[in-house]
Amino acid sequence: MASVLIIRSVSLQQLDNTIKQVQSVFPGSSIDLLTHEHALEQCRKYAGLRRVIPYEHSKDFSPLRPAGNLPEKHYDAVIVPFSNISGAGFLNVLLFALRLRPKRIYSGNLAGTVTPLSKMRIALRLLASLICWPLALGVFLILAPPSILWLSVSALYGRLRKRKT
Amino acid sequence: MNDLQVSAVVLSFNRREELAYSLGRLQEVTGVSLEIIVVDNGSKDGSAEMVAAEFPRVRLLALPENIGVAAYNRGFFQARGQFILILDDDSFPAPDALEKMVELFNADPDIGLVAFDVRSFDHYDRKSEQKEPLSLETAPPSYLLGFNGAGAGVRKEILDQVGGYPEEFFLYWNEQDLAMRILAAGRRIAYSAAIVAYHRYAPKNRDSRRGPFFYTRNLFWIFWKHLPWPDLVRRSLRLGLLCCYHSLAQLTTVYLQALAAALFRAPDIFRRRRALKPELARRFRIPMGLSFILFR
Repeated sequence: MASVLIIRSVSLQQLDNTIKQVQSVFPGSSIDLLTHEHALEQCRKYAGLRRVIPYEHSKDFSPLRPAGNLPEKHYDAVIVPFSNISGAGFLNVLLFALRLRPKRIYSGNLAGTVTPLSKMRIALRLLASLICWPLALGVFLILAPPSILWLSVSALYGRLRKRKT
Repeated sequence: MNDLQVSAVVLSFNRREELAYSLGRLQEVTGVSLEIIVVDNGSKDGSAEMVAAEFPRVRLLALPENIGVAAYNRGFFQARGQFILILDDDSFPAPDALEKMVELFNADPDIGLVAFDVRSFDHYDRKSEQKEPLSLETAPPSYLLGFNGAGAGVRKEILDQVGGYPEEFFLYWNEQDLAMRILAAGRRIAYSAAIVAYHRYAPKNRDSRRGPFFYTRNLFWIFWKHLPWPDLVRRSLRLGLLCCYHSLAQLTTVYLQALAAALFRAPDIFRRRRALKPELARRFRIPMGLSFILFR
């Protein structure tokens, strides 16, 4: 029996579709769901899941914050649902999935469709990210000083207006 | 003594078929006295005309243009019930949900808002067949720091006290802003899996700038309105850096536009600032990444 882990990286409403798709792509498999603590109660309502596992951290999924409480050492498949087409903004979840060292990683799109994602593609995304960060820092350092000055003036103005009223 | 228990306030915008279906489902609600108010946000598809013709008992407020979530406040103001049910035009409560909601409110006066378990509309029939109905005994309330605006109940007196949705937001993060004011007023947000609403979830794989723009701009405003200064500075800087990064990584200017729009109205936002107490602010988990996963 294949072991599957879904990482809850999207809304519960999208998860409704994803779980349905995963059950049809992996019939007869045992499916676990990893979710942040605040959604645990809602996720326990799903039928057909073997276990709903709380992520031990309150921050986003990250390879630097591994889950130490998973019942399987290595899953056959880990599913990372995306709430968009490209998977932009989900690199942290993909790297988290990679760190779990499953046999295969799959992405799930908005409509719930599940497709395999190669480890090479994840590596390329990481490379692109590493190139973008220094550039982003440069842009940020240019934009930050005038923005902070404007915010300070705005905050002072807000305080004065509140005093008047 | 007000005998009317619940006023359902439904915001409508160009979804006539969904609205008709949801209003039909609202008629199936049992166990409470209910008035229904539809606030139409200047729909061009005949939604307001449909409500007037097919649902004569529904109170209709037809606005001339789309004013975003501010339209909800028009409905809240008109509501006469002790509790207000907040719905989208494509969501509706389970038939027994309002009775349970009122029971929960009456059991604990500290509860200011009841967050429904909002489920995908597409699974309505399947789920109802699969699951044993839950009760407040089998699914006792837990307490949250936010709620889903497609299904929530709120005490009218609380809205009168803290105000409705933030009109300046137009769309998105408005629920969190209201939740923060309710919690700052010392009330709680209760959630029970027994209190269910259904929401039509119609995902489309398409490009969209509206979501990332409003999510990003309004998140800055959430920080500036509600967070204590150290938190405000730290999170604003981090969000600013993320705007720069994701603009490059996703090859879009939408995040920088949102940052510019947030800064443009900063004086007005700081005028509305009511910072949370640090111990309350620390409890919030604000997912900054949400802004950056909506650009298709």
